[in-house]
Parts: sequence; C-alpha cells; structure tokens
Amino acid sequence: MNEDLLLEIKNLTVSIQKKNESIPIVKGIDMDLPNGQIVGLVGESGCGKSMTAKSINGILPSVAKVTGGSILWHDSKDKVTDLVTLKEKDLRKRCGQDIAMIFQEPMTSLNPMMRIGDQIREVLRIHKLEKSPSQSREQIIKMLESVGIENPSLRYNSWPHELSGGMRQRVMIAMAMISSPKLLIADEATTALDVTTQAQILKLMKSMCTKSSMSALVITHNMGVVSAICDYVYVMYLGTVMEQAKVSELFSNPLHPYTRGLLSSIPKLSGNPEYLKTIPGNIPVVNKKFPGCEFCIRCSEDVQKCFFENPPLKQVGEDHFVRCHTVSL
Amino acid sequence: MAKKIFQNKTAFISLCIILIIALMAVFAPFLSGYEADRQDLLSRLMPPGPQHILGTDELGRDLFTRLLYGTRVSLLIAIIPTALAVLFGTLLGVAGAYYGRYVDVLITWLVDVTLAFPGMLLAMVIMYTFGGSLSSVILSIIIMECGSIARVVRSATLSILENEYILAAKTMGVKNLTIITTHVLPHLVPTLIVLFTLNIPGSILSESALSFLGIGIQPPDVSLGLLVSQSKAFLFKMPWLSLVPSGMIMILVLAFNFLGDALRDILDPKTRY
Repeated sequence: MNEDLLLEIKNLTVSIQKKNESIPIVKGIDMDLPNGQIVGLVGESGCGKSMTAKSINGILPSVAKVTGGSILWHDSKDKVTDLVTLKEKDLRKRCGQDIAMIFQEPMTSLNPMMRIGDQIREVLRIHKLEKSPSQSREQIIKMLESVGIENPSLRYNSWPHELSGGMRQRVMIAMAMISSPKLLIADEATTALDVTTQAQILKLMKSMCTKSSMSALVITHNMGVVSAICDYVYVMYLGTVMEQAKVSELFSNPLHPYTRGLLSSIPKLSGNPEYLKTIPGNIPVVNKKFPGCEFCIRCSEDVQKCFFENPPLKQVGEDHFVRCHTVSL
Repeated sequence: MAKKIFQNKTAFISLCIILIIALMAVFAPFLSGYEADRQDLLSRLMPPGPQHILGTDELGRDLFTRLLYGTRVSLLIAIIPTALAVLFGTLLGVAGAYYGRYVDVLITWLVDVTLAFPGMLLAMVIMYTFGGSLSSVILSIIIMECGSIARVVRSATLSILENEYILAAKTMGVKNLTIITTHVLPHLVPTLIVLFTLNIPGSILSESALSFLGIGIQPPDVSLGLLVSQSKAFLFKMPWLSLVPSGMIMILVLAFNFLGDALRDILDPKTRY
C-alpha cells in the first residue's frame, strides 16, 4: 500500500478480561493509516470498531485489554513508536497533541460547568501551546470561526447547554483541531446528529483534513458517511476485517457477502418502500469458539467449507482484500 | 442559589435561626455581664429571674452565660470536624473512584472498617488514648463521619466519571489530577454542601453525648452536652437547668437538619429547571 504511513496497526488483539477467561473482541486486525487520508471503519454495533479506536489512544474500559499485536506510530521516516507498550503518561501526552478524538454524543462530551472557550483553552494549556491569554483567545476564536460557528467571540463565553447538538459537535472538532493533531479519530461522530447537520459536519471534517493534511479514522455504521468522506475503508465483522478496499472500489465492486448485505441494506427511494432489506440473523455470542468463517451462519452464500475453515485475507485487486471462500482470484 | 434560599421557606427560616444563634454565641461577652466560670456561692441554684435570666447552677454560675459559651463550643464542634471530615472523605472517595483497582479496594475496606466500628466505642478509645480534650473530640468525630462521607462521594464520583467529557478530556491529554480538579470536583460541590450541612447535627449530637458521658469536653470548659450532664442531678427540682441546654441542642440540630434537607432540594439538578 502507501509508503507514507502515519499509523500502522499490526495483528491487534483486544480482549475482555473476565475472572478466569478472556474473550477476544478484536481478533488480530491489520490496518494502515496513510498520511493525509481519511480511513473508514464500518461494521455493526459490537463488532469491535470502537475498541480498535480506543486502543489507539489508550482509553479502553478497564475490563478490556490489548492482549497482542502492536500499534506503530510513525513519528518520521525512521522513527517508529509502539503505542501499546508506551507508558500511560507518555501516551496521554501524545493524546490531544498528535491524536485527537471526537465522540458520538455531543450532548455529554463537553463539561457542562465550563465555558466553551475555557474548555478549548485547557487543551492549549496542557500541551503548553499557550503563549499569552489574549493570543490564545484570538486563536480559539479563529478556530471556532473556521469550524463554522457564527459569532465566535460571543460563543467563546457560552455554556455548553446554550448550544445545539450540531454546534457542540463543531466545538468538539474545534477542540480536537486546536493543537493541530496528525490524526483525528471520529468515533460515530455524526450518529447522534440529524441528517442535515451530519452532512455539514462531514463536510467540515473533510475540509479540515485536507486543509491541514491531517489523517482521520472515521468509525461509523453508516455506509453513507463512508462514501461521503473516506478514501479507504475497512469492513469489520466480529472483530475481524472482512473486506478492505478503496471507497470507490468497494462501492462499485463489493465482494464479501457481508459488504454486499450492508450496501443493499441502505434504504433506497426506488423499489418497494414497504420492504426494508436486512441481513438476516443477529451477531452471534462473542465468546463462542468457532472454527469456520464467523459470518457463515448469516451468509447468503451456502458453502460447506465455510463452516469448518476460516478463510484468510486474500488480495483480489490493487488495495482490495477480502476474507471469503466464495471469492476466487 | 442565594435567591433560591430566600424563596425556600424552610431554608430561609432555619438559616435565620442558625445565624441568630451563631451571632449570640460570637457576641457572648457583650450579651451577658457574667463570666462563664465565675462562681457566686451566695446565689446558688436560683430560679430564672431579673438578675439571672435563666437562673444559676449549683455553684452560682449564670446559666445564660454558660449556655452562650457552651453554644460556642458546640458550634465549633459542629463546623470544624465536619468540614475536615468532608475534606478527608472527599479525598478518599474521589481517589477510590478515580484510580480504581487496589486503591479503591483499600479505601473501600478502610471505610467499611470505620463504619463497622460502633462510633461511640471508637470515640471512647480515642478519648482514653489521647485524653478528653477539644482536639480528641474533633479527631473522633472526623473518624466517625469520614467513612460514610467517603462512601457517598465515591458513588457520586463514579457516576460523574461515566460522562463522556471525562473520556474526552483523557483523549485531549489532560492529566489525571487536572481532570479531578476541573472536571470532577466542581460537579461534586452540591453533594458536598448537602453532606456538610446534614453531618453537622451528627457532630453536635456526638459531642453532646461524649461530654454527657464525661469523656468529651472537660470542665472548666463548657459545652452544651456538659451543661446537660452537670445539671442532671437537679432534673426534678430545677428542670430548666438541663432542659435549656437540651433545648438548645435540639434547636441547633433541627435547624441544621432542615437546612440540609432544603439545600438538597435546592441543589438537586433535577428540580433546577
């Protein structure tokens, strides 16, 4: 793939630790994040996409733990740091400076007892980017303006409850961008917003990325979001990558039955409006050990081999990989 | 908040009562012409009258004066150890909730131990070890109250930590200590105010009980509990000697209780809008 990598996830395994067993949630995924590109991570709820993102900046819930693999951060061409083995203190220092994150719920991701401006300034202060109070105030107001908040000098002193959901998400983006990070992780950042606001926020994120040549990891279950802003996409199911391809390639030539199912589940205006197409079945119980392909129970193809043997990730085209027995080279 | 207190009748009245009593205690030397421990053996056990508003005790000391000075000690006991207990309880509770794991296990275990121990027994042990004095009373009240406060603060902190802005702060690279001071503690303030006012009556009662048992404040110092204790021999002949200080304890305790209850209603975010 691309030589100019920013982040490289290698065989990452995340498990939930119970008293005497550990249940794998993310089962050895490989992922590359090139500089300046927007990479999408799609999948149903509970497939491990958030866990993957959270293991990058070390905010996994206390029951979950990275049990294998590495997350390599390319500081420069020759210098590579493994974020998994990094101490919590050093990782925290990188967070906000190199890696920023925006969350799903803009209503709760701002501290209701702090003014917007002060909250953004906290990031500057922590990373010692503040030169003088008046200068950082100017910088923050400029940032608020660039994320599309009207009347930013007035909003600087607003409380979070005075803003709408879309505006709060803009504030979150401003807060994430103020330290000019190299990687932005958006964990379902537009899921809680209505469609119009969603489109605006996506457009904003895309323009922010191109303007400051920042990479982004966009986690979503919405194929529409992927097609709107991503360059490359990973389709995850039950903690494994099922298919990965360039967005245009994936949408024009989806090979895995799961990807095809996801794409055909998007409601269309044409056709029978009464009938909503779905992928049959539910996500199976995670801790069940199963030798075959994890998707075979819900798969539309009926191949016996799938029940006994887990398919490997096969390359089928330039930058296009699929994990499926039914796909031949 | 100040406006809400004025609007809430219970809060306003109880706050007024507390303020009046506190002012009387502070300005005790100006309100009475006597000294608290000045004996006047010729006028022993006098009933209330023009010379001594509330009468005198068995050593001819003016009861009104002693009541005011006793209230001073009781209010001191009400505020200082409670404030310290809230302080330590908050430290323990927040630390346990935030850092989790063995820190939490250790703190929860410590809290359980202090809660399982009968408070009075613990206080007696402290009294016998360090001797009956104001500071040992304060110490024992802190230990008695710290545990339950830590427990409440711990659970309040746990629910605050569930909020996404805590996670967001972590991803922005905010240090743990900064997260606690800027994103956790401000949200705890309403809880702490209520905990403080609701624990004050307990402190007053503990001090009174300890002094009544003779292991709290020692003469010649005065406290409300000590006044009740010293006059119990005359309960049937001269009931006012013990009823007046007991009444004072009751008024103080009730006023602080009502104030705490009202503050809880005022500061509850669910009733705010």
